[in-house]
Amino acid sequence: MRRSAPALCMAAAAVLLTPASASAHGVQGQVDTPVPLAAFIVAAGVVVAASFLGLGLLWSRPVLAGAAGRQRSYAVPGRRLLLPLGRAVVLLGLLLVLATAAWGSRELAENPSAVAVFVVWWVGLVPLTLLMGDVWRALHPVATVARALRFRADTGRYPQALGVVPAAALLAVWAWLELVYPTAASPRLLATLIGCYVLGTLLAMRVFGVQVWLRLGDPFTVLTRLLASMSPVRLSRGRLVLRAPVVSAARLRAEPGLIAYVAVLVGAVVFDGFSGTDVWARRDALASQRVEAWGLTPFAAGIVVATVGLLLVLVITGLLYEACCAAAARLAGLPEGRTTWRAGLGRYAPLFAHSLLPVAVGYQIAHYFTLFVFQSQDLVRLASDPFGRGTDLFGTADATIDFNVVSPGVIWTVQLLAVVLAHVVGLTLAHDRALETEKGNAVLRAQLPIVALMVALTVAGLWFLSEGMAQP
Amino acid sequence: MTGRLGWLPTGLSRRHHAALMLVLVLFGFSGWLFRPGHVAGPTREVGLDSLSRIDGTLNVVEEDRLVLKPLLPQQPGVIEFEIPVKYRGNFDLAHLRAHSSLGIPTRLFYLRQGARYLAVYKTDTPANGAP
Repeated sequence: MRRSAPALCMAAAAVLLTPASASAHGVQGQVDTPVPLAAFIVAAGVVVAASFLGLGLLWSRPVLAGAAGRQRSYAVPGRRLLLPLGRAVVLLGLLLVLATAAWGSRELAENPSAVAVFVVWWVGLVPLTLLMGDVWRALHPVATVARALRFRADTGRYPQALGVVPAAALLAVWAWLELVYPTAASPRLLATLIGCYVLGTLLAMRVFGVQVWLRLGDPFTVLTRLLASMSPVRLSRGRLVLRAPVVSAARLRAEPGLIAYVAVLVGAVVFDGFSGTDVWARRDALASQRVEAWGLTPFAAGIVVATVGLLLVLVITGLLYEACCAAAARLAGLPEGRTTWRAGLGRYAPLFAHSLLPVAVGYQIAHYFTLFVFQSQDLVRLASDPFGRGTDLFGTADATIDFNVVSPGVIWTVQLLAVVLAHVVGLTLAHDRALETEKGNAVLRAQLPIVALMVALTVAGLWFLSEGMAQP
Repeated sequence: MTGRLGWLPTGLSRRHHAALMLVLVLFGFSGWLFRPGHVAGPTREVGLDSLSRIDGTLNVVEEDRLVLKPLLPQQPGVIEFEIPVKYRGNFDLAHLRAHSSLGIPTRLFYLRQGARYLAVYKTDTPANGAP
């Protein structure tokens, strides 16, 4: 525990830096916080940088991978019943969402499918996995169908050199649908998308095997597999395994496509935040005018501009990470006899990829916390009238969203802590990995570019959040 | 397999060269697309404190028109807002459509002119607390 002191100190500092004393409208802008919002953002960057110094002083040998081995397992009572029951419930949920999307109201506000898919499931997947482990992979509804059809677990046909590249590509498509395509949540289109996903996944599971596709190809189960490494809970052969949180992420090893996958995960949320700023709004409007001059409709022009913007952010995120790793190799000293920048990049980029996972989690929580807390409540109303025909199945058809369920101060505290702690945890993972692979001063030198990246991401992440929240 | 193009870094495979070319094309196109210029951007100096505001989900997002379903039950039905030309820079339609398609609550600041509702500015509702 003593070695986790730096991280705990930094967490405590982050807590102290939160605007607990801010007024009830503290999140609304600089005028309502006890000190200017910019000061919070700078302070958060300083906390992340200071945590690097603390780690350097107090954390002198790798411990996380070893700690991951210390765990306790417990038999789950009724496990033979629970798993099939859980799979049946999730499959039924998928069929219900598909049915409401296909045959329910065409009005978005009267159809539960969009809230169920984009808010409750997609946003909820992150906290669910962090708290409960890789539950989604165990209950995956399409895998349930594939098993019923007696598809093999592994056909041996998957090209191992691909790694998680298909999952990264599919995650980018999902991000495009979520963030760029203007009407992806319209019920009929959503029904088509769900249908395509189910059929495509079944086909892939038939060709490559159920377990192989879940492990490497499905963008959502790859996400839950990676995030589950940070969960204190693991399900293993019907037993519940408890362990220290985060430490198992230190055991993640590089696999082809992992950097691309994590870059998409982080970059998509960065774009979502950036696209809410006035800076983007001005560029977006101007760029749309230029594209409309080619004869495109405003609808199509908006898609073109946002697609380029998303691609740009994804590529920059990946390149920034790789540039930092190449710089790390230069600072730490290249392997003997290797002189090209590629040698350094090839050595370091896979080493530190896992340190971006907490960053992705922090961004997800910070960015989507309010969406999840507020908008998921609307499912209570929509569930009573799932097909938009005026029914009131549960007597909740008139339920409304309670925006007072969490105060603005709580929102800002959660967002700030999520971003800052995520980067501190990321740095800790990188530091521990550096201790595994480097010696002497090279340990700290190798981390300097990563620290710079983490500080930059912290400040950028909080700036995007503050832009989205600030009152004009 | 190592290919060489004179002006590119040495030691790269053809696959890396192709990726590098694609990135350069993306950067070049983005530089042209997002270059500075004059546009009627958001005008935040509209004095929002003096305006009425309402929270809801947007059912329709068009260049000159928004249709909002209010969140509060005492405001039933939908309200149609016009977007006057001088305030159109305040509404990033592509972003608005993408977010409204997910049903993210939106806060509209507006003026009343008789029976007409004139939209002036918008923000996302959740982070701004209670409606």
